[in-house]
Amino acid sequence: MNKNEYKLLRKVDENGYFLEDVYTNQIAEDLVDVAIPYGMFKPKWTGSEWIDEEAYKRAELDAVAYIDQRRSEYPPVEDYLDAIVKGDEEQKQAYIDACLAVKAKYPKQNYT
Amino acid sequence: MSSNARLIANTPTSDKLGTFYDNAKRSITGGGTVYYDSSQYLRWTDRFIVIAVGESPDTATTGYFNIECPPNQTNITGIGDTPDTMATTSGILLSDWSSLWYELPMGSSNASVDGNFYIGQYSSINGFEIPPNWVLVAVSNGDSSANGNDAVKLCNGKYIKKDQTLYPDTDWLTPTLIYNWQPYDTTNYGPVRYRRANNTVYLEGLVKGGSNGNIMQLPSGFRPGRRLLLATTMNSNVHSRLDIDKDGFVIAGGQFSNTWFSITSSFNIG
Repeated sequence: MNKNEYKLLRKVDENGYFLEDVYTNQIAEDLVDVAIPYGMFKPKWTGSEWIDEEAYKRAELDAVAYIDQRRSEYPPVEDYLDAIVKGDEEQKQAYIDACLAVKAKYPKQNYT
Repeated sequence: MSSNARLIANTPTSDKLGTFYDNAKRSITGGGTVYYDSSQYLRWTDRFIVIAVGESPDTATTGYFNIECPPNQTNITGIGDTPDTMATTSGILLSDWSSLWYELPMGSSNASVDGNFYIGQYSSINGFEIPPNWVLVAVSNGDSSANGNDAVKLCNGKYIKKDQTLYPDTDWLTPTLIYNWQPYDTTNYGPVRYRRANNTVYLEGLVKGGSNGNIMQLPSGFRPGRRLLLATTMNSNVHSRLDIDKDGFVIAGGQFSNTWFSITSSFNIG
């Protein structure tokens, strides 16, 4: 008696890449009834499972995340220039120490 | 109209059937998404269903009747002096103070019969007696919008206004999270999910780990008509902005934290 039930399906393009969720009671070749695992960047449906061909990009992004992290916490460069102008070695060293502390906090990461 | 006389003549009148008719008119549910556009065309996407009113060779041979929206170019018979009308792809024209009826195909299966729809304009049906095996699918109140009475009452008990869409309620759905967003601590804070109820979309959950402000995209039928800017909370109890745009993207609209970010919110659609 039940008609086709509505489900949340995943629409893919002609290459299998995820496009959007679709709530429908229709069946179509480009609609996948398998949930996409969390943590994928560009999910692709192979016909039997979801894979993330761009996982390497995620690793790449993670590897360069330290750049933004460091940038946001470095002390202002004006402090260093001010120390040079004033010949204040203590201020200059404080700036260097602060920079090194940020570098230590956010080390570079290797990826392949 | 000649068909009206036939309908009355064919209508069984036993008490048993009378009870069946009474129950049938009170037992209608369903309809899926119902549209009543600015030109007063009414359509529905799924069957209205008359069910739980018994099953017999004289009534519903399969125990229920479906009432599907008739397809484009279906003739809708006018009642009394009401002219016939033609269903379109937008639905059936239900102008002010009109009523749409469906004749239950007594002694038949559940299949909806396109030719069993009738439309009446109140001023044109004087002297016509509505047969007992007709159920009222929809009736328009044509009063001014100023007093709020201008609505179409549907057979499923709901009301719809002009230029409105009524969406059916859903169970909780689990979205596809994009840009590496993931649920945050579902043990303590529950899953990331959403549902639709009474034309309101409810979003729930905390997310983490995203590399981009776009967290997810709601499917069609769950999207607002315009971009919404909502308040939310994120890591360190900082207030932030949650945007939901007309394409359904749920977006960390201002600054966002990928430590945790709340998407719990609700908004009206339709």
